Amino acid sequence: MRKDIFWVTLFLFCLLSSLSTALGEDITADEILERADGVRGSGKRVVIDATITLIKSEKEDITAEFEILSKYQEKKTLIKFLFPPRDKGKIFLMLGDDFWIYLPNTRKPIRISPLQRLLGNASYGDIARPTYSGDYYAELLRMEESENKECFVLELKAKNKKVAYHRVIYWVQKDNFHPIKADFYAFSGKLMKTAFFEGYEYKPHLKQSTPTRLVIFDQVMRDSKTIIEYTEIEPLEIPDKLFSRDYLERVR
Amino acid sequence: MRWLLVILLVIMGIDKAQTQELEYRGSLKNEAIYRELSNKSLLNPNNEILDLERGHNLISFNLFCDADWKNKIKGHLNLHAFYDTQEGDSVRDVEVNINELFFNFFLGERLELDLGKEIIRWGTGYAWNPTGLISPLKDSRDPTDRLEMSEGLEMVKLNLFLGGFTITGVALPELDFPREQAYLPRWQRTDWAGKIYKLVKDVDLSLVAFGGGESKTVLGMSFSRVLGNNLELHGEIAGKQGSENFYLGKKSEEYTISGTLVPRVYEYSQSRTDEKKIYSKYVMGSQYTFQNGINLALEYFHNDEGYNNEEWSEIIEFLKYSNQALNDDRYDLGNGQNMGNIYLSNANGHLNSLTGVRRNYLFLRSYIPTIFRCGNLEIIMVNSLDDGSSVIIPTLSYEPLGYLSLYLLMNIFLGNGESEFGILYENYTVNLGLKLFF
Repeated sequence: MRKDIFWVTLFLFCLLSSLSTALGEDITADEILERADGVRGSGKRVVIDATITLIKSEKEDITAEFEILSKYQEKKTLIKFLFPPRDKGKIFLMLGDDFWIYLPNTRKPIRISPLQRLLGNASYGDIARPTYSGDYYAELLRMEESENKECFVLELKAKNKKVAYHRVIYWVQKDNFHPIKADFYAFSGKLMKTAFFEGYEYKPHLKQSTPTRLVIFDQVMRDSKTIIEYTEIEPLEIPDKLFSRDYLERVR
Repeated sequence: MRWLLVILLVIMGIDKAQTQELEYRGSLKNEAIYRELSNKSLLNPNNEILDLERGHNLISFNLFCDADWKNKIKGHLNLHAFYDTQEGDSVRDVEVNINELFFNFFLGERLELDLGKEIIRWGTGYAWNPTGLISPLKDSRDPTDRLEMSEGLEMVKLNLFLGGFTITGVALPELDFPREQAYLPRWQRTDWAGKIYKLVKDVDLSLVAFGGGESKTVLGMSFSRVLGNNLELHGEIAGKQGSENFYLGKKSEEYTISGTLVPRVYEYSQSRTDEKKIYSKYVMGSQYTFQNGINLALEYFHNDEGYNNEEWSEIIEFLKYSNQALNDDRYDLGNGQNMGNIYLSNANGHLNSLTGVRRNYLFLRSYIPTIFRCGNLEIIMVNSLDDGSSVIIPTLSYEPLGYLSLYLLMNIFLGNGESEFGILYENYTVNLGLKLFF
């Protein structure tokens, strides 16, 4: 009897071990999320040129260009609007969970919520806050193939109510932690948008591959999508005083 | 000083091969304006005082130019030129103003100096800024300065960035209000201003002070904060001892002497400057953004220096008396001057204040982006809570291209003939504009 119990226990132990290895429990969900954030550029001090294109009904509708100055690890991002001419002179600032927009006509910064839209389906949070580990708790749901790649499927839940989306389902490639896809859900539970991370390129000064394109599909207005393209990513030392509400009017 | 600054800027422009960056942006705008004049306007009865044209065109050009010389000196120019057809019909009637011309000197990692003519906007309020004492006067009906007429002040400004604090000191050798606003009751001379700003947890917090010269010392503070995903809260308060506002006083009654009528004498004066009472102004407001991008803003503004009901009744009595005198020969003063005309001309400066002349106001704004393809709708309402009169400003914008904006806006004035917005010149205006950006 004892022998039977021993062999059953050993069998169950081996079975559970093989399952946990298959699911990657030797790496936690939070670690997967942090590795994925690292791929997207967290921990770096960078200046990025970005273009956002809004496409409706398969026709290019609006294009906007930005310069992004960021200290991602410190959650500090400054976005200068370069194009179209109508928006030139506007500046967006993110410090942690706090956001401001500087409008050249009003000549002063205004506090805004993370929901306020940059262009199309892209919110300020999408372009200023490309990392999720600071805002979400992660749980590993399953393994799944997406875009022909074996992926961890994570469920991200917002750490506080200031985060733009209550819940995110996040597909991260298993072998290199490249983000592949994300579904964003509102607090109501409604699926708001789906984003695909594309255009992976090796950046020598970052010593890694990083996505250079984010394609966002609106799940409410099904005929529109927004493409964020990062055309230039370079490291840069940025003075701290630039990341201050009161300094925005002198950022030119 | 102005010519020195212009020469410096030209030198920087000539030496632009060594400048790291020369950036510019601007706009060219044409706005056609139609006015439906009010027959019941006590300020401009039958259009006799102001002689306004029903329709006119405003063409304006705005240029912003920034030059950066080796990250040590930056220059900034804001040039504004405009031509209003109701002012004249020749090239000489084009008015050109330098709204801003200043240089920014980098004195170290934490210290910067500004020298020149600069627009400063302090405060967190959207339609009113009690702590904006060295800011251009704000028209609560046009919070985003659509007309781009704001002009800066000549100043020396020092900014210190220290441990999350931003400390600003401003010296103002001369306070020069923009051209049309010289007679507004807020006129005062301020020699200095200071501000300390810090983000405290998630609250923008600023403390301000103004004073010097002939003006009273004003102390104030402002804050703003976002709650959750959607809600923004903000507020400001500023106070001083005594009031520098102009109050109407009746100096003498009308009487007849030797068959000649001697009119009543009224006088606007700063009659409360020596009072010990604290006069404050404050604004409390909020913005809410919905998931679909629609934004609602609400503000309440209170002004201790505004006219109460009794003071307003005296003003209405004064305006009625002036209207009565306007076409009555008995009130002629010779040289073609009429007492009623003089009084009403003076009153137009005092009672058409951009910031409001009464005590309690409400501001509402709703903004609907993409109401149709490339179209946005904004509706603003400013309501005088003291008498219930309002102005409603709907604006429909169409922006099919990144450099082009077409807009249609109206100002609709509501209120009886003795209310703040009811005494104004117009029932409504319609403005149709085309703006090109570069």
